[in-house]
Amino acid sequence: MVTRLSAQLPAEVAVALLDTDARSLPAGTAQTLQLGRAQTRGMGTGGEAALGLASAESEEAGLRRLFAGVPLVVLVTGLGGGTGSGAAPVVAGLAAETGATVLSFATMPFSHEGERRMRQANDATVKLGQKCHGLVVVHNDLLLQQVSPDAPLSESFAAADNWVGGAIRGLASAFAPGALIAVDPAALRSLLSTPGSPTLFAYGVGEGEGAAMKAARAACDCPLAHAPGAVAKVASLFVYVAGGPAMTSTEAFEAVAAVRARFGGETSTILCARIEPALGDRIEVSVLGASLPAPKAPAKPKKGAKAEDPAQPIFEFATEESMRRGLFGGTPMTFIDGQDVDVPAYIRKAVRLPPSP
Amino acid sequence: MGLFDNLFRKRRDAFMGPADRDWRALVPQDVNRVPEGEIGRKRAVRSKLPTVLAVIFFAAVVGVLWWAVDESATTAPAGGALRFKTDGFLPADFVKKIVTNGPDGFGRDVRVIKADLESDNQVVAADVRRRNDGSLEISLRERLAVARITTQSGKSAPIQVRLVASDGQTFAGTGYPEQAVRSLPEIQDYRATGSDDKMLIEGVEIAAPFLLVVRTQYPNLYKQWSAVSLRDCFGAQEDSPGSNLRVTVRPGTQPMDRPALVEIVFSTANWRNELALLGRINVDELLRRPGTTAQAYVLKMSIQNRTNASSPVPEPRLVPAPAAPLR
Amino acid sequence: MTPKPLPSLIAVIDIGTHKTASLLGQIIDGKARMLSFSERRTDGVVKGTVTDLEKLTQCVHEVVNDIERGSGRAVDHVYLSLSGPAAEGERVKGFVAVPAHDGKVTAKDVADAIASAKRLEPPSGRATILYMRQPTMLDNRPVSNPVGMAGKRLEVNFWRVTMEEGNMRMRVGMVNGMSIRVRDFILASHAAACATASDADKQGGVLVIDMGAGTTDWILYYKEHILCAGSIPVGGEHLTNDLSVALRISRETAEDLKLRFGSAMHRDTDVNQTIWKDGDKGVGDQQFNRGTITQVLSLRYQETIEFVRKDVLRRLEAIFPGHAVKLDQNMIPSGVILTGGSASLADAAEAVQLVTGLSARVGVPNFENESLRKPEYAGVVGLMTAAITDAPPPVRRPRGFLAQLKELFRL
Repeated sequence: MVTRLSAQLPAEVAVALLDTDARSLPAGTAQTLQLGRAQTRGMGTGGEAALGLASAESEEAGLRRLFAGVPLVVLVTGLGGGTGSGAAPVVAGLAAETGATVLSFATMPFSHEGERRMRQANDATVKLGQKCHGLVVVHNDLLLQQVSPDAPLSESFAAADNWVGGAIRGLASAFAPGALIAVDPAALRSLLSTPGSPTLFAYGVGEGEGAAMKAARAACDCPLAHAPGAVAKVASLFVYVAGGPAMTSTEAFEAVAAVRARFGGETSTILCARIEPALGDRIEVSVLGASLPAPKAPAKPKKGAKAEDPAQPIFEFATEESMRRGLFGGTPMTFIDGQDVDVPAYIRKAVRLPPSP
Repeated sequence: MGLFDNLFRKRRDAFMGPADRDWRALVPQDVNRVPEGEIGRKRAVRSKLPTVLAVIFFAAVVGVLWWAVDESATTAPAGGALRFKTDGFLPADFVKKIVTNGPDGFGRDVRVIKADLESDNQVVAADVRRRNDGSLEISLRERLAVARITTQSGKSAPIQVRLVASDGQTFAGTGYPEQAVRSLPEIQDYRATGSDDKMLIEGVEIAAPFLLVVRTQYPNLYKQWSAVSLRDCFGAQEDSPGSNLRVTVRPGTQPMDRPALVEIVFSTANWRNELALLGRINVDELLRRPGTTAQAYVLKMSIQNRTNASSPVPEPRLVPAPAAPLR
Repeated sequence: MTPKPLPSLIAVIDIGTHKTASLLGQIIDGKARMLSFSERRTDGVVKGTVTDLEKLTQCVHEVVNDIERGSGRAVDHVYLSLSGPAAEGERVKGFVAVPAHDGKVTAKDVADAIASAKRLEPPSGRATILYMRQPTMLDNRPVSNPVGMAGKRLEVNFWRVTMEEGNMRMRVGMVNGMSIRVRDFILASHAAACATASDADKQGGVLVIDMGAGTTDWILYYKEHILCAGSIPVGGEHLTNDLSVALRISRETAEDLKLRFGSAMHRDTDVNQTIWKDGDKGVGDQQFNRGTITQVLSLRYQETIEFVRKDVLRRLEAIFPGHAVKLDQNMIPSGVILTGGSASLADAAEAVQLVTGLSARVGVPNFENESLRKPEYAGVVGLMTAAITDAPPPVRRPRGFLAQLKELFRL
């Protein structure tokens, strides 16, 4: 997926591919780093998260070199397998240690990929969330909503690419010079810097007349942002609006206002707007939100009080769960014939619902 | 984990058979505790309430019945206090016996008690009052004894001493100390009818007042007399126109150096004047006059000097007493 | 099979995921007369399993309190329902070879066979809760009463329900803590069937599906005995949840829409219908496509019924290994009786018919009191019915003076 994405990204963004499976690392433009040469001998982890973890740890020096001096690291990974679930948290941790703001996009396996992958992915989510400043979880099931039932699989993946790509584009461009309304990287970092807080992500695109509003509405309706129990209101927002040369600041502000109205009227918002000639008359809106504000100076620990951290991953875990399992988020998963039946039936059967009026 | 433990520890994990895997065997249900929590207490109270109310109801019924029965049986507590005073000698026990005599005992009507007390001749009047707490207050006025008599109901019956009051009534003299009884003069030679309290002594209507006057007005004389004989009350004698009261004087009260005065005779008609006369006579001097040579003399107060036939003048005369006592 | 005589007062408690209901009845001539009924929202149970014992205890205690207040009687023993995945059932057999000398089965032989069946160990960590009689086989022929018949091999079958020991202790302990004794457990699906299915149904063969809020319990009867039973941990809450996720609305709204507009069957024409949440088009009102609603609900409902069907087949195969079993109208002439709270969903019976291929109808409990003749009360009413029918006939209690006095004061 990263390979596909890298084509869309501006030049300032350095792309690196990490994998244990040597065959998936193409020689070519992108920077590559093979993890765990000794552990896996270039064969891949075979779905074992522990192996992935060991592989990442073995390449610690190389990873640190990779992240040195980079202000923002966006980690894109697919969870459920061995490399993603095992290595991603380690990589994210190392990146954070080198001083970068770490934002992760992680995809969760489809429901019918099986119980084991699902469990592994869930565990990895928790660990990853603790290390990153912002974690956006993309459920593959939800992707299926966006495409018609007969579409080939590649199309649904393409939809996912669109989203994640949009987000990365937004973030990358935010740091690139020449923005219409610039953003300070430090501000972005402080917005996201609560480790383990669930991150809201939405992406929408609109074109033609009233493109900005369409884009904003699309972002508001983005399924990733919607689930009962999911973060509906956030404490701080980052909105990135990109449009063609015809975009005006007014339009940009309108879009932002619409987004703010939907996601949290009183939150502090960081806005970044950019003109991309390549977009033409399309306008893209990306939204990132953190539900918990960055913590103030840590309070004096009370005697015997539980540490702050354990509470947060649970909260985050519950919210992630609730995006798919709704009210049953937080309860033990119930499996029948290998499926988690708490997940709505229509999702698991990949049935496309009629659009809402 | 020695042999001892292996043999004697509770073998909970040993295979005991599926019967013991039945839930009833695994969980002995212990339901006697009162449930916790507010709801539990409310439920416990509610379930016990009928029982408690029933018990209280029955207890109340029994209590009411008991109280009602008790009310009618005793209007006053049995064995109440008795406060008693008398101007005589009657003891409290005697009174108590009279008071509690009868089926109702102490709780008798006061009028009945009064009647009972007054039926005894020793009591002139009885004042019986019952206080609020059920106790009795009795104050008695007794007859004053002036003399005593001895009676005998039959030939072989014991001799009873009875006392004679000033109004002639005789009574048992309950409670009188020995000394007091002995110091009373005895009435002798009397004729009586009836017995016990209803005894009627002929002549006592003269003798008793006579003794009372002597006792009250001439106490030193009274102390000296030991008996009064009524034998001359019942017929005329040669010396007097009417009956005589012959008073025997205690021998121990006379000095030894002169003849003793053994008797004084009063007339029943005129004893008051004679008593007054006696008071003026110096008997001792009379007895020491020369010419008194007999051993004992009788002082006759009722001799009339008929020198003047129209108005005889009483003239006490000492007469020598006959040697043998007259019977 | 405790041969205790039936008391004159019976209390039953049905603890469900959505509601806990309790019924107090007086037994007169073998029939129950309702003295009082109470129900409350259950707190502390999710998908049929207990998550918060304290809250649940509080809830059950309140229900018992209501019952006692309503009837003026004290409850000191109770029947509990056993439902959900906690209660695992399986068939156990006991054999006895009929002694050869006259080849006739005696009552003692039957007792021996029963004893041998009950000697089988339950899985470790589980306690035996109850045994339900299944057909007795004499030389592999089912007979209803083998005593006196000639044969060589006597086999008795029971459907034995076990529960995890800890779970059982928790439930019994919870009830004991209210100074109430647990008289017995009754399988919830069996209770629902006693309330809704007739004896004729049970004789011919019937599948009763009790779909509650948290679990779906089913039981299959054949020739008057239970053949097998099971439970799926999916219930009405899942229906609501699906709708809430799909429409991005709160749970309460989803529940409301489900009851008003939901259906177990999705028709293409539904897509054209738009409904308003509050119906008054006022401020804050939302509109939804009816097709979405029916689509989501029907998918979930039919999937659940499909799960039940597969479970039934699986268990039947376990009972009759090697035979190819088919679930069809020949085997189950009375078809499916649908009951429980979720049976009130529109077109539910039709959906079941579609999925299973059997005739289906919604069963309503048979009770003298009209207010309880709703599918959601099949559980609690059924408990009462099952308690009466499964117990030995009542002994006539001597109505001496002391007994009457006791009655007077309810000592």
